Amino acid sequence: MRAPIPLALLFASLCCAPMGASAQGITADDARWQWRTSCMIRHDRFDYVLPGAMRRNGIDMWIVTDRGRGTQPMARDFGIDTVNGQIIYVFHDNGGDRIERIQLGGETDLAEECAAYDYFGDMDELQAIVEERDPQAIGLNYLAVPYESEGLHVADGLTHTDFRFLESELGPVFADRFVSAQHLIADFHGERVASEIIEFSKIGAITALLEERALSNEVITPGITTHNDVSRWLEEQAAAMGLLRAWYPTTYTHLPDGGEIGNTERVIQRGDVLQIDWGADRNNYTTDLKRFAYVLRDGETEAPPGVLNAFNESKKVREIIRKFVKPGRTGREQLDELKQVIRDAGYVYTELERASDEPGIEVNVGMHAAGNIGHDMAANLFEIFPERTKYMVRPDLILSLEFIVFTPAEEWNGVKIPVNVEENVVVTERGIEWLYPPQEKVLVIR
Amino acid sequence: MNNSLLPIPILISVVACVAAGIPAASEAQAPSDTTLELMRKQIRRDKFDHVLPQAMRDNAVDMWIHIIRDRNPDGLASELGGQSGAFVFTDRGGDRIERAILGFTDEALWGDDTYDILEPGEEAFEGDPGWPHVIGEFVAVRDPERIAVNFSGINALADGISHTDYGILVDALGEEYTGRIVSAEHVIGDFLAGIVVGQIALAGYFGMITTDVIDEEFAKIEVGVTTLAEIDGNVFVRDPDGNENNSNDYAVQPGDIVTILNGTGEGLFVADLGGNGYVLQEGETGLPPRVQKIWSEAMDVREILRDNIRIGPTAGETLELLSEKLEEAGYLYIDSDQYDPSLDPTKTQVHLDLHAQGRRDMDAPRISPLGDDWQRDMRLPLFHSFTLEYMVHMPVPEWGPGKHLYIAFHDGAIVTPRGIEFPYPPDQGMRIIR
Repeated sequence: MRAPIPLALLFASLCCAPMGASAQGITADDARWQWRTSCMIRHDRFDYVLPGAMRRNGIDMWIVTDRGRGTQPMARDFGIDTVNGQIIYVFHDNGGDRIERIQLGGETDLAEECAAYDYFGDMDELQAIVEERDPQAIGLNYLAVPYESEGLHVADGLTHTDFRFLESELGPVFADRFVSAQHLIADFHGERVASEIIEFSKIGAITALLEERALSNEVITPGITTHNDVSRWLEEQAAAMGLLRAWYPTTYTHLPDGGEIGNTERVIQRGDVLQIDWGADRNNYTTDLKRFAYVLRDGETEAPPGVLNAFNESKKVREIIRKFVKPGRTGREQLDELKQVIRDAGYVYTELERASDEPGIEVNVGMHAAGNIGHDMAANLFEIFPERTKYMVRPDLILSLEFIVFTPAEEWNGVKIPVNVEENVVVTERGIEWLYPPQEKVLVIR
Repeated sequence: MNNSLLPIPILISVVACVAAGIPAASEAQAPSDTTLELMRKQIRRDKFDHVLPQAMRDNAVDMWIHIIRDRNPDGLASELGGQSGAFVFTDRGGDRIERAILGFTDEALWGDDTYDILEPGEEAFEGDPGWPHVIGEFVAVRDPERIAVNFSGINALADGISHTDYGILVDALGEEYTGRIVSAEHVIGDFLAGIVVGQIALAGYFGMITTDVIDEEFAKIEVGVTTLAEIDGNVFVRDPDGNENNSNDYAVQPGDIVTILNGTGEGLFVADLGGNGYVLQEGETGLPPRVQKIWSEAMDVREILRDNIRIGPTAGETLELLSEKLEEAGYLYIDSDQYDPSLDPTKTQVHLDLHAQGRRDMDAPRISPLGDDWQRDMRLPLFHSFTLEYMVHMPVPEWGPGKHLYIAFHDGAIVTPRGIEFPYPPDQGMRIIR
């Protein structure tokens, strides 16, 4: 078979076509540059993150299978996913300061150029490689906690067929040493090297700029444009820029009765409090962020005081969280303490993602790891992801700074206006640092 | 408006564009994303109506369970329309397969009448997928005899269920129904191989775009300067000994036959095709006799292929027939894409790799010596969409023993009850590069 340009097609999915003016510049990398960047990142992750991730979890060999066709959720962590066959990656801790890296099978030309692996061989070498190294704990990508899955799919890329293949290929002695690599993966995704922080920040900037354009008169004409029109505009922009879909954009309106309506053919009206929740995927990095806007009524020149106040309260809460979250403790420990810190600041902490009748300004926090996918496999400060709150917040974790502030507004007859905040940030020893400019003002649609 | 009627004018307009030979399909005539999404939806419905019943019955399967873990990429997400959930297809008799989604699935499917049943279970946000709570009873009520599940050792597209989810499924079904589980690999293979008219329309549309792209790439060539790597696509030139330069730093030279392969498409259909060009040598004003001859023989081979590929036989049976017909016509069929100097030096050698086209990642049915036996064991279905890919190695005696000229073709084709038809014009002639 003479395959027409598998790489070119692949690059096409990565490549940026001409961008909107606001997204040009540092973000407009071509396909070759993106590939070189992904290689650089891979090297650094294998050098600096992988040894600790394996050792902390008592795993001295990690085997990852990729059956190709884009079915391995971590495929882009390890290379270009193959279209022509299966790859097995073997990582072995032989005790030095470096993890041995082996690629068996697959298309190797680009992988060899990347040189992130020490050895390229055939799949039938697997048994000999394992026997020679005699690992005591072999990590495989299946879940340690299958019934509390909470979207831990990143760690669940081993197909049932491949599990049976490995059992049969390696025999009962080594099959008895199989363990879940779930926690290893959480650590591997929980700590980011400098080059990937830079790469993530580019797509973060693109996402933020597109959301801000979507919530403007460039896209919205009050009384005419629908939620779905806005979402489709984002889809079209993303497609034109070579971004992959992380999920379909959610464009929604907070209603003065406390309800919410989104992604419908409802026409956007004057007085609407609008939000977008969206993420985009490029070069193995996926964002997840929100923007907040108000549609001016006739005669208004700015958002009304209630809306401005609600937004300003959200910024105050943002600063509380920014200063609080640090590496070195689990998500659980920090979330429990953070709730009290928020209460101490005069807010009412709520476990609900909707306002109650409780007097005062309510706050709900739900922060998840981000990075390679929207809700990534690393430490969380989020009640709905109990498994991931057990993980340590590691230095340089990419996190979604996500929370809701419900502030009573006179314009809504005392009903609370929700401001859903979500920015993607990095957690350093100093606290939370920005990857791109966060939203500082209410976006206004005239 | 009835959604199911929507795409018909769209399909007609796309087909009309193709029939009218509108060259700039990538410009004004390009359908919007919304139109493409409607086409995808209609293709999905048509495949469930027209392809799925036979795919299940031919493989003696009365229930097909396809599990996709939320956000875990799956090869069939486009065809099924969702990226998570337990997709359960049950043959309960009649001319239609019952279609159900159990558990958490894409919001876009909630209001979609493609599926008869949406049973969320106790879905929690991005957590408990829901289907484990309801699938046991759902299956027991239908009491299937053979339950196909998406695991496979031969077809990666059919191997989506994770080890974790398989364990969950077995627990939910219980011992009796677990004993009835078989691989869904053949059901999925037949389902993907089955082509509906909407996909043919896409073949025409993307084929036209790619034709333009290939012409643009040929136009870029500056003899002696342009390297194969600078041309977009899979680009290759072979010397008289059969050594190949492929998308590398080789600069195009006079006397070369340059082949460019390129592809365009989206989730449900990717068109792959090729074109050829000859680089004039000093003093030449047109194609020299040897190039005219290989082109003529290549067209002769194309007609042999067109005359002998039909719906019904397996790919392997078709390969056998084609090799016989080629030999009868005076050609030598070869299993590999390399000239064999041990064979009759007066005869032109032909290699075939007529693989399925549409999903880039599934080559079956495959009329070819390449690939696995299961790909040759598949029958050619109605509207089988494939690549008319063949390579011609013509000896050139004046160059010396073993020396030969090489040309490769890669055009999209459809098998209808009438034979082979083209969704867009196949390679029309040797381009001349000056």
